[in-house]
Amino acid sequence: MSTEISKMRNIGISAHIDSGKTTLTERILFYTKRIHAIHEVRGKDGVGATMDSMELEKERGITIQSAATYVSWRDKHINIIDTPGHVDFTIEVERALRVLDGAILVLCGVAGVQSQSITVDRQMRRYNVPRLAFINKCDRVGANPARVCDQLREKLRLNSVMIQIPIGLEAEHEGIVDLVRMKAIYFDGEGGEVIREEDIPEELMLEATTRREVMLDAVSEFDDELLEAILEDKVEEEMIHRAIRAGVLSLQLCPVLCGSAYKNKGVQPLLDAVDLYLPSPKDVVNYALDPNNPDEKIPVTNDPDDELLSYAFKLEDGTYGQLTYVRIYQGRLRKADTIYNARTGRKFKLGRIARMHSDKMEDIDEAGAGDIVAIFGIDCASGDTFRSDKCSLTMSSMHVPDSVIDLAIKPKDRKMAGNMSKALQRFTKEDPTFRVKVDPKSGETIISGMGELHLEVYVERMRREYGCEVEVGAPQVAYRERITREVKYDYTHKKQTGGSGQYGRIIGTMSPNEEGKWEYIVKVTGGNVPKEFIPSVEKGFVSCLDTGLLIGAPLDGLTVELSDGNSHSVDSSDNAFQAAARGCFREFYMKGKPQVLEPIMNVVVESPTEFQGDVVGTILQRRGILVGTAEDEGFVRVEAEVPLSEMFGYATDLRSVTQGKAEFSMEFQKYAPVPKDVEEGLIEEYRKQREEKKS
Amino acid sequence: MNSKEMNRPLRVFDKILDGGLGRGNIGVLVSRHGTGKLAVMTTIAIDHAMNNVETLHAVYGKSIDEVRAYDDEVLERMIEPFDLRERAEIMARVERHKQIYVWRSGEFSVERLRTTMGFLKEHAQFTPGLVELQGWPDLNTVSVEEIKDLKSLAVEFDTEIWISGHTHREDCAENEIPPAIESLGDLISVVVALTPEGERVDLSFLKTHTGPPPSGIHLQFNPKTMMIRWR
Repeated sequence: MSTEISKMRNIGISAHIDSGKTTLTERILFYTKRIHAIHEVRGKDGVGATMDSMELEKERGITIQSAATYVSWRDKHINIIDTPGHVDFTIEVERALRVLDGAILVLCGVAGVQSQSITVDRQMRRYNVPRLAFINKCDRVGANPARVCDQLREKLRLNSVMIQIPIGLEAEHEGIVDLVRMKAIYFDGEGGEVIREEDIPEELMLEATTRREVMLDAVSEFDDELLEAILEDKVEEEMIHRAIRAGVLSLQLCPVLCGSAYKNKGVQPLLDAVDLYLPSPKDVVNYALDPNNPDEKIPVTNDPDDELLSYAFKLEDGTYGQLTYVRIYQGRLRKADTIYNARTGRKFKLGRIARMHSDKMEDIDEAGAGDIVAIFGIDCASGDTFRSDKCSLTMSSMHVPDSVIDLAIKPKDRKMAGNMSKALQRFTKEDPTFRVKVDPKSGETIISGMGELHLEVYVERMRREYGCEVEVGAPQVAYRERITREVKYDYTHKKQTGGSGQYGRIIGTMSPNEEGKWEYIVKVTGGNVPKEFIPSVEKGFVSCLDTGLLIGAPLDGLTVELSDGNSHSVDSSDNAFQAAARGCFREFYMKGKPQVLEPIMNVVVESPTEFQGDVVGTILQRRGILVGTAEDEGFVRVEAEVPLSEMFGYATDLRSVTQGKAEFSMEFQKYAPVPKDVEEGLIEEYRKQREEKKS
Repeated sequence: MNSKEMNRPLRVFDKILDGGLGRGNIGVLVSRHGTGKLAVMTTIAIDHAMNNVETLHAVYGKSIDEVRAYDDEVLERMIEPFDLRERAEIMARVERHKQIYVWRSGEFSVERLRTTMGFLKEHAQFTPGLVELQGWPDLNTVSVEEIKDLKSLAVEFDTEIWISGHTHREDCAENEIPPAIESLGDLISVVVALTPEGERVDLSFLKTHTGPPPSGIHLQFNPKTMMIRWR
């Protein structure tokens, strides 16, 4: 039986690396009785946290793949996606956010809002994900939840309001005060599983009362009845819950909870908050696309009795073969049903459906709208839509960032080539930001991704999961090139070599595309270029986009307008017009004054103020441009734009100049022209390569 | 077209001021609330950055993201008429010559600005020739000593400093220097008033280096295009 939709919660746990989210997830599994013992992230017990199911994750103590799991709490069915915290894996976070209805933003009670929390919050905004904040590690020296709550307001511009305060901090952290119910909550028993409620300790009463007033003031904005009740001093618990929920659902309020997952404090009330305040699938509007009218967004119905519409957001190759994680937006998935892949048009018979509990699973017969489940043995790619034959909609595609770094790889042992190719095939299906190509010049296999660590992890996975050791070259940034001005073209492709000839003439303009996209505008009138050859011209130009003529790099967008041309009744053909477009590109591209572009990263460094000079030094040494600096209570946040080519090994340098007290995140910002001397060097290098090839 | 040419009225602006506000001086933009002081100030700052003058946008009480988004919008509108290569070049030049510095907590003081300027000079090899100061001072409450200190900072770091001030309807007539600024005497070298005129804003020079404001030259600011032009 599928679960009633209002009782479902699909949530993500997102945070900065080392904020303790995997520990938190582990405690959630324990309290919801999905596991019977608690394992730590860097498992001294040799088991490791349950959500970190990949061997590599357990070893590094970081979560790389977002393993999915589900739990039951009270009468709610909660699907949890544990998401990676390192910025190089943001596609994982984005995939999770795409299918989730709400999230817990975990913050370290000491470090507060860190650079990665800002990146993750930006992603949550992009997908309109309502969120709760959990300030973890209240047992650590220097913990200050009130300061972190203020940071949420100042740095993330969230309307954050504490609905709990800690009882004691650092070594004295004993429990929490629930400001809604005005009760002190303690967590007894070996694993904190026994909840004891008491009156609020006298010494905390004043703070609790003040904070409650602040909370009521903030949340009353979302419920008129509560506002009246406050004025009449007749506030009831239920009214506060309702107001908080309304605030969260409208994305205008972020309730803040606190505790220490490691010390087993505050986790069960957090689960209550998920139940009470985060939306069920039917509280959120998700949109599908009609391929016949791609500009129109169509809200999904969330109705389990409607036609099936579901979305594959994650693939995993594990013990059970290919696992595909699917979010169902409407209709049902039933064992033995036939479903269709919207992209390929292929149909499949559903074999097994399962709920996943990290790397363990539980077979089920059906799942309904709103749910997240795993299906087996379906050949598909991440981002595919599965639907019933009567449904014509697809789920909108995810925002997939461009890859910015290339790495040449080759197997150490030739016998391993087969395994390497299998691994690469698998990874490209799992992760849309991981790309593979063969360099036509060197014949080398090039993998591309979002950062050094991103690619390192795949190299490591090849070794561990596919037994394939690879040699890697130096990381190379992915250069692009683009023309900078409009060029008018008039090109005729004519070939007469006996037999039927080739003829095609095209006239129009080539111009830069500022959005970095390929655009083809047809303004041909009077049939000068016959209709059937108009796509041929496009095909010809598109085949040139991967290799520019300046340094052989892919083009960062191009707009081609075809306004006129000519054809021959016998000699014109698809091939002739494709060749005309290619020839035209070769002849006119350089007249558009192309330039070389390099990826520029937005680098954010957070550091104690005492290291500000050193931090700035590391940026300037790297051709970085300081964009802004913010000072805040002994900390400084430095934002800079730095070419990716200069960022290799930055983590080590930053650590060494700041005694490990600073941290940074970086995100692709834009492609920008390289300095003249670098451009000249790249052009020269390309020229030499071409000459060598010719000779 | 180079960036000197791109906004010729700004060149007129400089001409009226005998070459601009000038290093070591403080200029004030005054208007009623929401008239576009920040936009004009940012336009002047970006124009300097385009002309290779290092500029500092010093802000009290905002986040970098907010300031950056605003500055980027002004820049984008300013460079709209250029082709892609010129735009990229101008943007790169502005990026190299402009920085944002934000204080998010504590009180603003001239001393903090002095420490920051010293830091940027020593560690970032950045010596602003123009400082755009946002969020401070409130001209109705600031002391003469504080403005004196700001003036000495302008001289010490050889920079021009632009600040802004609100006026109220009851303060003074639109073409008069508000009393709060008048009382600061020679500490303020230039005062420019902004007066809304339909969808545009008139710029009038209430005080220049050489005494009485020139007549016959009327400049307007268009908040939609961020351009200063002749009326």
